[in-house]
Amino acid sequence: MIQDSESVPMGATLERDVCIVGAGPAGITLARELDQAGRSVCLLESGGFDYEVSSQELYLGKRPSGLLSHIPNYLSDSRVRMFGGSTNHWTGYCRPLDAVDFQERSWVPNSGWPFGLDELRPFYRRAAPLLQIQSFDFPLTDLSRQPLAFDRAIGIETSLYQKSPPTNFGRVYRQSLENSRGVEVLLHANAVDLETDANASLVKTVEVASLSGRRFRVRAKRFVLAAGGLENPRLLLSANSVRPKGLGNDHDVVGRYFMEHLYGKDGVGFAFFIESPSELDLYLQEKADGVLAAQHVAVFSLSPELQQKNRLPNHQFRIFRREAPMPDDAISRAVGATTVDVGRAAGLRPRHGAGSQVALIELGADLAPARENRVSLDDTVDALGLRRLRLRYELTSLDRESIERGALVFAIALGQSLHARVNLQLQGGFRFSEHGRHHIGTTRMHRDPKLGVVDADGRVHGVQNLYIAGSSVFPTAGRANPTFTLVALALRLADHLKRELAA
Amino acid sequence: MTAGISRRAALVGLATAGAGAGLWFLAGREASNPRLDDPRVAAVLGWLSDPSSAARAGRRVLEQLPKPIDPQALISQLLSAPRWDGDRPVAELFAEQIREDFREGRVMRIDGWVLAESEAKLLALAQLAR
Repeated sequence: MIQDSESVPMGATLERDVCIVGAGPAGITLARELDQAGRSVCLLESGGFDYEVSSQELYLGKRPSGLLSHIPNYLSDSRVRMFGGSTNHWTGYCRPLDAVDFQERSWVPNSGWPFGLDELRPFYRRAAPLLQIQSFDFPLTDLSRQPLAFDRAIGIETSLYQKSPPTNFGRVYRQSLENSRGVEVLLHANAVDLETDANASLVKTVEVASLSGRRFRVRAKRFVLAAGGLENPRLLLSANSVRPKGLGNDHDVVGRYFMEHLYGKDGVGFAFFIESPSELDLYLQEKADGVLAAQHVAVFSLSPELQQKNRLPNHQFRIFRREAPMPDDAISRAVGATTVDVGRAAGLRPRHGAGSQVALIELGADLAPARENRVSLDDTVDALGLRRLRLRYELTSLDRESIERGALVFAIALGQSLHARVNLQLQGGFRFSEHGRHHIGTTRMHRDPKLGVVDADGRVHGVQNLYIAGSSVFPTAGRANPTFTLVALALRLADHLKRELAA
Repeated sequence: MTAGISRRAALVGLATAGAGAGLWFLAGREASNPRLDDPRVAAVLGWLSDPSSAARAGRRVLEQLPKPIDPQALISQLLSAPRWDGDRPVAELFAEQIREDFREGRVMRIDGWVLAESEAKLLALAQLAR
C-alpha cells in the first residue's frame, strides 16, 4: 500500500518489522524482498510521485569546495528526492564491479572490500531482471557485434556495459507496492532523527516529519537507511542526541572517503585505429541528450596484471566518435599511414582492406578513497530543522599521478596491440568534463570500526539493528556505475535481514 | 613528456624484466657499416605507403634525437635487429620490432603521439634518405 504521511495520525507510533528510509532502487528492492518473505515494512519516502521543489530543497547544501566547486548546487542537483529516487534521472548503464575492485591493493590507499566478487555474483544475477537487463554470465562472443581481439599478454581488456531501459523503480514497481499487504509506503515522510537506547547501541524509533508539520514515529526491529550517499551520513551525523559525534561515528568515519566518478574527455587525447567504424561499433559511443543509444557498449580497461605491474587503479577508457578527422599535419599523416602499414604487416588488416577511425578517448578515473574527502554538517538548517551538508572533494597527488601514468600505460598497450596509436594531450593535467552524480563511500564497509561505518553485512558498527544500503557503503568506487551493484547489495542485505528476523 | 630515446627510464614500471630484449637497439652489429645507399635502407623504406609524410614527420623525430645525429649509426641501429638476416618480409620484421618496443616501454612522444622507438626512427631515416 502507498499513502501519504498525512494519513498517519499526528504523534502516532507505527510498528513494523523493518523500517526503510528512502524509496530509491535500494529501498524499493529491499521492501519488495522483505514483503515476499512475509515481513511488515514501512518504507519512508521524503518526496511524492512527482518532482516537488519544496522536497528537493531539503537537499540544498553549501557550495562544494575543491573539485566540484564550479557546480554551486551539486548537493541538490545531483539527486532526486521523489519516489524512485535517483532512478528518476539515471542513464541506465549497468556493469558489475570487476574482481580487482574488491581487492586490497597496496598501491591504492584504503582499498579492499570485506568480500570478493564471488560473494556478489549470485546477487548480480538476481539484480539483472530487476534492472531489466540480461545476466552478465553470457560470454562476449554471444554478441552480434564483436570486441577487438587483443592478445591477453598485452593487458587490455574489454568490459561490457548493458543499458537498462533505464528502469525507473518508482514507475516499474509502484503497482507491486500498491498491491502489497506487507509494505506500507509513506510519501512526504522525512526521517529527521534516529532515537536510540541510552548507549546508542539500539535504534528504537525513527522520528518522521513532513513539510506540512505532521510528526510521528516508526518503531521497528530493524532499520535500514537507503537514502543515498549524502543523506545516509547526514542522518547518522544528525542523530547526535546520545553520541555527540553522531550515530556510528565513534571513530569519525561517517561522511568521510567521499568519492565521485569523474570523466575526462577534453584534453585526454585521441587514438587512430586501423579498424573501420563498423568494426569498432561495440566501443564507439554516441549519445543523444546524454543517453546512450546502444544496448551494449564496450570500454577498455587494463588487465589486473598490468594494473599491478604499474601500480595503477582500475581506470577505464571509453572511445567516442571524433567529429574532426585526423589532424592534417605531417606527423599525424605519417603515423596514420605507418600504423596501417604495420597493422597489415602483422596480419590485422587485409592487404587492401579499407578502414581506420579516429576516436576521442575518455578516461574514467578510478580515484582512491581519501579520508580528507568528506561531507559534514554545516551550521545552516533546512525547513525541517536538519543541518545542511557541505562537501569537500579534492584529487590527491596520487590520483593525479595515476591518471597521467594510466593514460600512458593505456597508450603503450594499445600501441603494442598494433591496432592503434594514441595521441596523448594530458600535458595540462587531467581536467574532468563530466561527473556521474554518484555519491560513494560515505558510510563505507570495513571489518574494522576504525576504518569503516558498516560491517560486511551492512550493519552500522556498534548499533545492533541499524543497516545501510546504497553506494555509500562501497569502500572503493571502481569504475562501473553504481546502481547495479547497490541493487545487488540490497538483495544481499534483504537475505541477511530475512535470516535475522526468522531467527 | 618530451621523451627522447634515452627517456625509457622515465617509464617507470612499464618495462618487463627482459633484459636482453632491447639489446639490438644498442649493440649495433655494424660490421657492414651500412650507408644511406645500402639496398637494405631502400628495402626498409620501400614498404612505407606514404614516404613523403614519413620524411616530413622524420624531421620532428630528428629534433628529439640526441645530438649530434650520426646517420650511419641510426641506420646501423635500425638494421641490426637480431631477426634482420632472414627471408621474412621487412614489414613483418618491423611489426614485430614495434610490438617489442611497446612491450619494453621503448617509446617516443612526438607531438603527442606515443610511438615505438623503431617506428619513430624509421620516420627519421625516411627524412635522412631524402
